[in-house]
Amino acid sequence: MSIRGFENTTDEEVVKLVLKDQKYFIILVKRYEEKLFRYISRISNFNEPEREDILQDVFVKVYVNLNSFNSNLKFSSWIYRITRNEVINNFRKFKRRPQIARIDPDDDFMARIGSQLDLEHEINTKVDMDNIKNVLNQINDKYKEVLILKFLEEKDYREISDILKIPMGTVATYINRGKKELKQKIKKYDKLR
Amino acid sequence: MTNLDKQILDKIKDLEPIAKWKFLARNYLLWSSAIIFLIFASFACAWFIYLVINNDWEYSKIIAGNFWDFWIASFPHIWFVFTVAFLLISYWNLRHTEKGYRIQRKHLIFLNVLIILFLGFVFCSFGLGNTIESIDLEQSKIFNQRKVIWLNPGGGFLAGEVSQINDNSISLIDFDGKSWIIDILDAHVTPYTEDGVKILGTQTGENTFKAKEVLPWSRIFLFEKDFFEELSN
Repeated sequence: MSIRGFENTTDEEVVKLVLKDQKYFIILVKRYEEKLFRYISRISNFNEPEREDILQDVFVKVYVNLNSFNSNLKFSSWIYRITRNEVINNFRKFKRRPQIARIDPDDDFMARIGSQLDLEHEINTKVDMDNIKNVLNQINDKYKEVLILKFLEEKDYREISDILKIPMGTVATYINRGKKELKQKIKKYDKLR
Repeated sequence: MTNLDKQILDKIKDLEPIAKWKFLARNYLLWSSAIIFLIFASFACAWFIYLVINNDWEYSKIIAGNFWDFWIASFPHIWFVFTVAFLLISYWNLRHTEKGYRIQRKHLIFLNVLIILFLGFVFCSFGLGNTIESIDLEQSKIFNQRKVIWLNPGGGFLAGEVSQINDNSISLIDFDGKSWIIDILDAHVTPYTEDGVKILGTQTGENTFKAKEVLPWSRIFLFEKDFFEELSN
């Protein structure tokens, strides 16, 4: 089935179509497979075939549970939540310690987080990019997960709250603590140089 | 279509989405359980409040020798535990409703505690607390130790319902069903209700007791009296 002609159709509208006819499910797969594959890579240390298996299971769960999707929620939040849960299930299945993969941020990410932390100056002139990445990978996983959603997946507070199933106040706290920890580590690193 | 797309579509080919009613039922079940357990917690809280208010704190030294021994013997621990347990079950259910996670844990617990306390006071005010007195003595050992404490004639404590009033004595059927003649000649008698009396004094025979003090068994709580009067009218 071609997905042309559905570019302007919202996810929520596509969900309604899928519930009538399974063939429309490919639209959701196409829209989210890359994003979710990248998200799985960011929040886990599974290898590529394992990540693909997880992704397949995510889409199967999405399809089977499609009737539980509540349109008060953004579809993207819902599908990210299912993905995160599936990753956690796989940590349990393989009895592997949950471990967030090394963040490999791009320039945009560095610019975004730099401006958030008021550290553009340090980032641009003092500390080189690789070292910032190292520092980023040293922070607490709990905060790192929220920072990934905020600065890499570009989700807002409400979406992060819906994905992680935590109150917005807690999201804000984690982001602030994560930023604080990151800022401290960057400054500490900067002094050592 | 990529290989991954094809694999996904193959996997869902023979599957059907789970019916919507099942998800709705789960959510309704969580909400109903949350409300039911909130009411259970309020009932337990009402009995807890009733027993704390009616506890004989002023006689703690006479009854148990010191305050802490009295506290351990008479504090309605079981109703406190039930209140907290039902509160936690209710909280768990609310937390697992569709949007339960959006409220901060401390706010949700605080709100639940407020509702339980409020309903507990309301239920107690309208006489629910009193119903704990209808349980038999065997159950009282767990649910209402006060009765057990006051059924100790050898120790100078007796409680029950007054069956007959004479000039210098009253006939009493204690909460264990035994009949007593109580000498009240030298006793200080505080006006009491049909709920019963508690008596401080000395056992003088198999079925006789000399009272020093005759007190009402329970205190009337807020609107309880008016409510019962309205009911009887």
